[in-house]
Amino acid sequence: MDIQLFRIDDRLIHGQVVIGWAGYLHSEQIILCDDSVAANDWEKELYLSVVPEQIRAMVFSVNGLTEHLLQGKDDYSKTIIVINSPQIIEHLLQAGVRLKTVNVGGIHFKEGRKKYLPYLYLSEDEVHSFKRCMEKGVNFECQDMPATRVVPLGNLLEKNINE
Amino acid sequence: MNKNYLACVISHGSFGCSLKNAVHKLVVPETDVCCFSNQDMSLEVIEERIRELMEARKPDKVFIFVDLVGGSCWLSANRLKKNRDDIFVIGGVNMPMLVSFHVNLNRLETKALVEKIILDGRKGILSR
Repeated sequence: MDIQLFRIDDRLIHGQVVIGWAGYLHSEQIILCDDSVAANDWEKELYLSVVPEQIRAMVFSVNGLTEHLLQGKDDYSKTIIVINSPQIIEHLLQAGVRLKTVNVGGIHFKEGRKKYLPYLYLSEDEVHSFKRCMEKGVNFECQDMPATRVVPLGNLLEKNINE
Repeated sequence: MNKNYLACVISHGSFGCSLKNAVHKLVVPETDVCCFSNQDMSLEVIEERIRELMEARKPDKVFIFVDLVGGSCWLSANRLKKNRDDIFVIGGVNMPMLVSFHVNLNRLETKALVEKIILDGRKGILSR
């Protein structure tokens, strides 16, 4: 499936996505996938309000996105899909969605998470979830902004085990 | 007028704290401005810390300045404001705006203060 950018970012739609990536990639559509946002009209409106007019934006629940991707009718070559955790990737894979490369754009500090990069803090559960996805063939590239260095998540996790 | 208040700047990187420090070189601050960076902290943690401050200080009014309308700091500030008339979210914070905030804080009523600082922030942007 040709998706322009499939991104994990706990901030979902924000400046780095709409100014940084969508501008750089000339994206035409942004899909936010999150169950709690999809179920809350106020949150949905807040996220959609920050997307520039020239970009279409939609909010899906995890099941909604799964169905949408499995139908495979749409062209995602100018679409950024943003989710906030690797567990959603696991759900998609389990349902039969095929994903090759996923951008890891930011999971930030909160209690119980360990620092891997300035924009990447992971809990043990998240590390295990990423590893299960990697075993199923998903390639995770850590990169917060288009101009920054790509760091393969696999190397980062391996390095951390060895330290 | 606005004696019991809380002022915060939420920004990308170190911008908010640097802005606060730069403003302190120009005016005697009327209040402490608490600065938060989105660089490392999750939005959830920033929101939690500001809620804790509100709980501890019990301000009548809260002013939350953010650097970029539409950015993650803007999202956080709006979540804090949700359904609350005592919280004012002001986007596009710059030096003239924050200077004006300190100068006018105890001179103007809240509505007039917010209008004034936005106007002064805009006035500080020009080209020749």
